[in-house]
Amino acid sequence: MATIISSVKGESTLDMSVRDIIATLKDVSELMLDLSLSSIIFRDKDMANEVMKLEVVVDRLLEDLDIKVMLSARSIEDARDMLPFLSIAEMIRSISNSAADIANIVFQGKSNLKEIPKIISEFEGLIAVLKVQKDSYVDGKRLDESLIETRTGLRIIAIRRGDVWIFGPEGDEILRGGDTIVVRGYRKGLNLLRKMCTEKEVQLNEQEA
Amino acid sequence: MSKRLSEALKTLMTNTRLIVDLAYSALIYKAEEIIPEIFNLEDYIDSGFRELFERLLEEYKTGRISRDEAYAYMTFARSLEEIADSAYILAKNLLHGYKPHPIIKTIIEESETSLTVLYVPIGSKAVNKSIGEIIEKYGKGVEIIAVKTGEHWIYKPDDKFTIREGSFLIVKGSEESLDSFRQEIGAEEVLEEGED
Repeated sequence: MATIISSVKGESTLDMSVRDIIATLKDVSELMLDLSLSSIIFRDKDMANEVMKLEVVVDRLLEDLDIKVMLSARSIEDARDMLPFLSIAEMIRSISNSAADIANIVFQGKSNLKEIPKIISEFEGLIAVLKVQKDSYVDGKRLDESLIETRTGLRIIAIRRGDVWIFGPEGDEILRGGDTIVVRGYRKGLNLLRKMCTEKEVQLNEQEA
Repeated sequence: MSKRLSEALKTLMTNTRLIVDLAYSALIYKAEEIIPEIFNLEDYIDSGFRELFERLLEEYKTGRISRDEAYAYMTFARSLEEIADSAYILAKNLLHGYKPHPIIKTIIEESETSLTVLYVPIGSKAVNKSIGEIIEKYGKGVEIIAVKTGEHWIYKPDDKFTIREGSFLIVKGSEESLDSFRQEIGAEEVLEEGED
């Protein structure tokens, strides 16, 4: 998804199909919500900033979607067929706006947050931060080859490499020792992921205790 | 902050995620069955939000939380409630005879967090097992959003909930993890075509 977002950040997306625009919007809006909650948990302004940037991407995609939908309707039937697409777009617009509002809380002073970070991190959908050790099992592996998602049930929503963030990384992204990763998902998978990020040999078929 | 206030906030978070998942589910599977559930859930979210609002005022009035803190909570809760509202509006727009649209199905199935509806036949490995057990064994990374056994849907079933044969499951996860989960437990994907 990272590449889609960066290409969207540049020029118009009018050459994308309605289907691709909505699929991208759905993914980006979900990433925004995850990142906005993470930005509060970790009181992290970089993450909050990325949500703001993504809001601009979503707005542009929504605008292009509106134009495409208007152009595609040649009859009342056509227009009626397009209604569900517009309804999805509206829900996505709301998720994007709300995620930006949530991320904006981070800028209003960290002291205001008090217990909110704790409440969110206790929330069943786990969000955690891990450090990738040099020469560990995942060091140098592509994300899809690392089998992190299928074996641990955790999805990487962001990678921090030095001063640079990679948000919504794709399967061909290579993990490196020293990376910090933000993951979301299955709580019980965290032990195995911790091993994958620290130890060289990891038995992937082991049953987690 | 009181425990009741933090519980109310957590409930709001859970239900907001759930209502969005249900809205997407209604687009791919039996909208007429799922829409009433979305309406009920939205009602519930609304009253939870009002309660939370009153509790916030109360705690601010009695000096348990500061003005800034109350403002942060309020912004957070209101943002979640707005998401729930938009899911409700989507459901309302589908009310008049929406049939699962093939393009929308593809979009939802191919997106990074995909949704699918599965049928658990006789002989599936999921039969008479708890959700916690089958997720641990066959479906790390998938989340069972809802289960229908007989007439009724049960939302956010907990880990101890037992799956019976003939059940329908709404499951969320990446396309690959959903595929592997379906094969591992021997469930069938429910392909619902628009009936005309």
